[in-house]
Amino acid sequence: MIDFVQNTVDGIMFGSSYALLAIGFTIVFGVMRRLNLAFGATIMLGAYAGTWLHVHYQVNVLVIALTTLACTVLAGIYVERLCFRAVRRDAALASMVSSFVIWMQLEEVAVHLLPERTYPFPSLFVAGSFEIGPFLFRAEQITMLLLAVVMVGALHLLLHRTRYGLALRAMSENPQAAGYMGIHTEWVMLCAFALVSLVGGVAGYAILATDEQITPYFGLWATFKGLIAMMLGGMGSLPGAIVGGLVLGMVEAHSQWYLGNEYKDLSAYVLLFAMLVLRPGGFMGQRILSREELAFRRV
Amino acid sequence: MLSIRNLVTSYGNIEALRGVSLDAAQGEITCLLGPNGAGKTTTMFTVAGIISAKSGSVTLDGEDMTRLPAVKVVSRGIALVPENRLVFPYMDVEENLRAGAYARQASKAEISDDVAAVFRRFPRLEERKGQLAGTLSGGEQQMLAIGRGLMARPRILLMDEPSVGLAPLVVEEIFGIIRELNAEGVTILLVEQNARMALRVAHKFYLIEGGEITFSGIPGEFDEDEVIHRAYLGARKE
Repeated sequence: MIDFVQNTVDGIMFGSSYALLAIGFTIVFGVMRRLNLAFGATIMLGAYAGTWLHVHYQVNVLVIALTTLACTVLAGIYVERLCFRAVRRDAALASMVSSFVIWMQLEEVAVHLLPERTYPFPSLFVAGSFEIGPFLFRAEQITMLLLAVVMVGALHLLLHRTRYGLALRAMSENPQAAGYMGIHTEWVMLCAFALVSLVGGVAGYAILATDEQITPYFGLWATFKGLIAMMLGGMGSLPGAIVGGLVLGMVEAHSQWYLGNEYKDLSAYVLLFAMLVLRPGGFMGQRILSREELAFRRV
Repeated sequence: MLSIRNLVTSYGNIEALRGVSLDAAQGEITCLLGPNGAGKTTTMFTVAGIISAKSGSVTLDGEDMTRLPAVKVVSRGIALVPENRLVFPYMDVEENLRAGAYARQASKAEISDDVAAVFRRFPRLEERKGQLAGTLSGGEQQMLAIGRGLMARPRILLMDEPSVGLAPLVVEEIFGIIRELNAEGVTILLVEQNARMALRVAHKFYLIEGGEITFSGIPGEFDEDEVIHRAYLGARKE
């Protein structure tokens, strides 16, 4: 029982970072109905820039964190320009394919920056662990969870309490009508990319600082985790991304403990498979689908 | 007020408007009638800045609006109530209205006042202000679309087919609203399939056929059936 609770807690902690990755995918998908495959690589390039600074110059952890975030945002804007703005609105597949190409390109740039396989990544401001009763908590993971909670809370406020949030939601529902309202859709889109890149950068930084190392596989890894979490939760749904991320984290933690390390990733894929067969819309997707039908019937 | 001169708009090689000229006078309802594909919606879209004109001009109170993007057109006082309403289905009624005020650089208090004003005009929307717009009936959605247009505080309101897809009784209600709005001083340019209803509220009408204005006049001065026939079927072959 203690193991079970401990695994669940660990799963939630790590799952919170999956949730942030999934948010990056789901916001872009929700607003544009297009998949940004370069998202993981965007974060990786930002993190590599931070690592490069860490390896070559001994600078403050805070500077590295800010560099990681800033470069992730820049890379996100670059992707938006090349794969989304430049491609016609209705050509969703073209955007996806070009974002895949840019993924490769960003990875190449990162690997040229730091050609070795593994580099140390500076740990978070606080490290160490403590116990509450029989349970062990790692400070980095608590920091990760707190960061995720703060990011999700801030995003929620932004989407529901600000003028920009209103514009972004209007655009995700009907870009055409949003344009008629005088919403500058291209600007809203660019800001959305910068925003999700920031969220992804925070997630990436928290994950890497917990692992204390970075490899060229990070982009692929982040893309997989984010996509799986998004699909579990329901594509385009913000609450879905959070639920999907947490569930993915918990399933991984449990299977790692009970079945062994080699089953960790496999169980995630089995879960995704089961979800796609039993409930293709994901946890939250189904509800949206039925609401869509409802709306359609009444119009 | 709104003055359109020799407006030419094309989609690729196809000319949809071939020199449209019309005037919408302050405080009046001006109605644009015509058969399907005649260029009614294209005229609206060009005025609203959604499609860019090839040549010709659009001016509002003497201010040139030709080829301004929609973002600027809205903030300079032309709001469009689009065909099929296009409300934001998963946003609630109040959020839909607030979205209509997006282009204005207004304070939160000012926008809240305007929301309250729309609710006074449409009490049914107030009853449903927390409801998702997609769950409203067709007539209520049309009210919402009109209210959303008014939130931009337009000098002229463009209404594209407000009666489309609505039950006859609801159509009556919507035209009642159009007349009321006009009585309150709102200038309206109306595009409508339902020519009979439109002629009943319009101060002036234009007939558009094949991308050109072929006829204009004041309702009542002409044989209504003749106008309606042409509005639906194009020019009568003699």
